[in-house]
Amino acid sequence: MAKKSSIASLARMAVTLSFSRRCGSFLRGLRWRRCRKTNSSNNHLKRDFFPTKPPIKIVITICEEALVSDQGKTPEDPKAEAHSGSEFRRTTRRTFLSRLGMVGLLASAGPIASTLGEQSDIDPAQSPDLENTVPVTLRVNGKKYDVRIDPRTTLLDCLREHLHLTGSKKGCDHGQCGACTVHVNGRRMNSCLCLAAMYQGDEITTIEGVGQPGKLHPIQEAFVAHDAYQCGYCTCGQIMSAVALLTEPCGPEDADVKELMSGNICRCGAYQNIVAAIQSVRQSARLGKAG
Amino acid sequence: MKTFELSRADDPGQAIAAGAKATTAQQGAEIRFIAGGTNLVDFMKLNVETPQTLVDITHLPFDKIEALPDGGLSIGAVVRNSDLAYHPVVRKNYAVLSEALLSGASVQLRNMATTAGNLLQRTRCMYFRDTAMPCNKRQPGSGCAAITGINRGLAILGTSEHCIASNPSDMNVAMAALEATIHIRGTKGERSMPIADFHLLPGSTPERETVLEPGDLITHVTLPPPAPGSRSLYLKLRDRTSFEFALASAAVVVTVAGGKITRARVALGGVGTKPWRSPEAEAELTGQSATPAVFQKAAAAALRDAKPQSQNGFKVELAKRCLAHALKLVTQTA
Ligand SMILES: Cc1cc2nc3c(=O)[nH]c(=O)nc-3n(C[C@H](O)[C@H](O)[C@H](O)COP(=O)(O)OP(=O)(O)OC[C@H]3O[C@@H](n4cnc5c(N)ncnc54)[C@H](O)[C@@H]3O)c2cc1C
Ligand code: SF4
Ligand code: FES
Ligand code: FES
Repeated sequence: MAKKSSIASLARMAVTLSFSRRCGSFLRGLRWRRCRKTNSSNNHLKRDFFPTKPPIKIVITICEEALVSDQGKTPEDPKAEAHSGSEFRRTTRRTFLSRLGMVGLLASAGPIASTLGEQSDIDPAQSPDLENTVPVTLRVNGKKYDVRIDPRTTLLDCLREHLHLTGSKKGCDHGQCGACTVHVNGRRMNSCLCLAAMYQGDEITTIEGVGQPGKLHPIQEAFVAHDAYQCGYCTCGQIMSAVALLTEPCGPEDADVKELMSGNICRCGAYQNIVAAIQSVRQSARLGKAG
Repeated sequence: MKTFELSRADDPGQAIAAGAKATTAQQGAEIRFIAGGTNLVDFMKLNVETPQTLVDITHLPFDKIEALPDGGLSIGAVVRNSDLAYHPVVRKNYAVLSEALLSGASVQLRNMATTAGNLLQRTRCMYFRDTAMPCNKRQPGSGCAAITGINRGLAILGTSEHCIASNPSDMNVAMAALEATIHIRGTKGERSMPIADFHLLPGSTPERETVLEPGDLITHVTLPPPAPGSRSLYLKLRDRTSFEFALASAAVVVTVAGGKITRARVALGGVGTKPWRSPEAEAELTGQSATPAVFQKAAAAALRDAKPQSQNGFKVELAKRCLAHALKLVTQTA
């Protein structure tokens, strides 16, 4: 129990990795294959993982994010929806950027609802639509959300910035790290490469919908039991992948799990314990079936 | 990311009519179809692709894998890579395709990526991705930063003095060895062509990568029936075990009868500017017995015209060994 809470408080110290554009190749340098090496000393790990001059800038900030999900902001929280209206208008980096792009946006307002071939006769300048956005309806964790978003908004940004479901993380924003993994109609995807407006009508599940403190998914419990994280930044994505893996065609060996988990990079190198956590759940599922 | 208008096509005609308004279907296209988005959105975030209009084609009725009367297979353009890889007929009759798909990207990406999107995925050349650098493919006439720069991962076959970018797809290599046919619907109706004619060599126009014209929509890909008694295999060599593009790969489809190779189809990945079918290797194999010496001869023939760059000379030997090993594995128990 004591261990659990100290892990949770550690996990609250979310690490924001501010990746440079070239971080992809660095991320790719962190290898699942190296799981095998992690049982030697930490020094060895450091030498193996960190180049002398890390090409990425690491900014450590303390924030409220918990390991498994946003505590106190359950999907049922009516405030979550209200947020997307007024409160979130304060200038964040994102809204600042989208304001910069406003002139261009005016010319592109509203068309997701229109069908092709039909000329849109809405005069964008006259349009009552605010901030050059389009109306989008998403179903996330069984709940319907109506938002108005810039068509450029990725599913990841929509979840985090508009729906305030910040369990899904942004690592690379290019499909290379898996921190943003969510389920769409039961299949795991990289939400950073999804345009939110294309996923209307789909059933989206995020880490917040997988389990909550007090009612964890077996994979989440196994991650705690096996100490399958260090900083916790990749963890929600790892868990989303691991939960999906349970129903995917995956062989019995550790190597099979590693292969299917290779889309999730862990900068801390918690791979060995992640594999152990997943295998423990699969093992008990097999025993459950047999018994 | 530049702003764009996003629309959804509910039938192919809408998509084709929308796409036809573009001036090109190649680099610089103002209108793009979007399927899985794993390649396009990536490049849009980098401002390498700056379409003003996106047409969501994921709702078009091209999501089926169907057996053909002749024993072949028809694969819809928006079939997801994971569905294709795990399809029982693909696993049984076209193992090389299943293996190639499963060796590519990650589960998350394969769940999103589509057949046509994969066919059209663009090079991973780092200068192509970086708008601050010269790149003839991205900006014709600006030069090629890779020839004098970092080119370790780039091509050694089919290059030109204007571009040496490798085609990164694994699926394409398998499709080349399986002699797939690409089916296209455009403003002038339907047409189809062998995959060998679909991708273009860079020559002096590396910005033109395929035969596609504005409005052209890939509807499906067909595979001929599996050659009787053939076995197939995909071998991919890379810097790490998983979630990495090929340095060299080989797709082989081989029939051995009476101790002799009666039919061979060979394609290489990671080394060519397009999916690299090797008739030279096939000629060396056909009629010969399945021995290491024959495999090595075939591999040497496949790489005879290789033109290494400053950093990727190792790929010549790597690709040879890759092909020879793939041939050994595929004929082992045959
Ligand atoms: C991190 C990462 C790692 C990867 N690793 C690998 C790997 O190891 N091996 C590998 O092979 N691939 C790899 N990929 C690439 C991946 O396979 C491709 O991004 C994917 O196949 C593209 O498919 P898509 O449906 O998402 O295409 P999209 O991004 O939707 O489209 C790509 C292009 O195709 C066009 N298009 C799509 N459908 C049609 C159609 N029906 N008709 C005409 N044009 C069409 C679009 O307009 C666009 O120009 C990787 C990708 C990422 C991000
Ligand atoms: S190899 Fe091709 S894609 Fe790469 S920089 Fe040169 S022209 Fe551009
Ligand atoms: S944020 Fe890295 S894969 Fe999406
Ligand atoms: S990145 Fe820190 S636990 Fe995985």
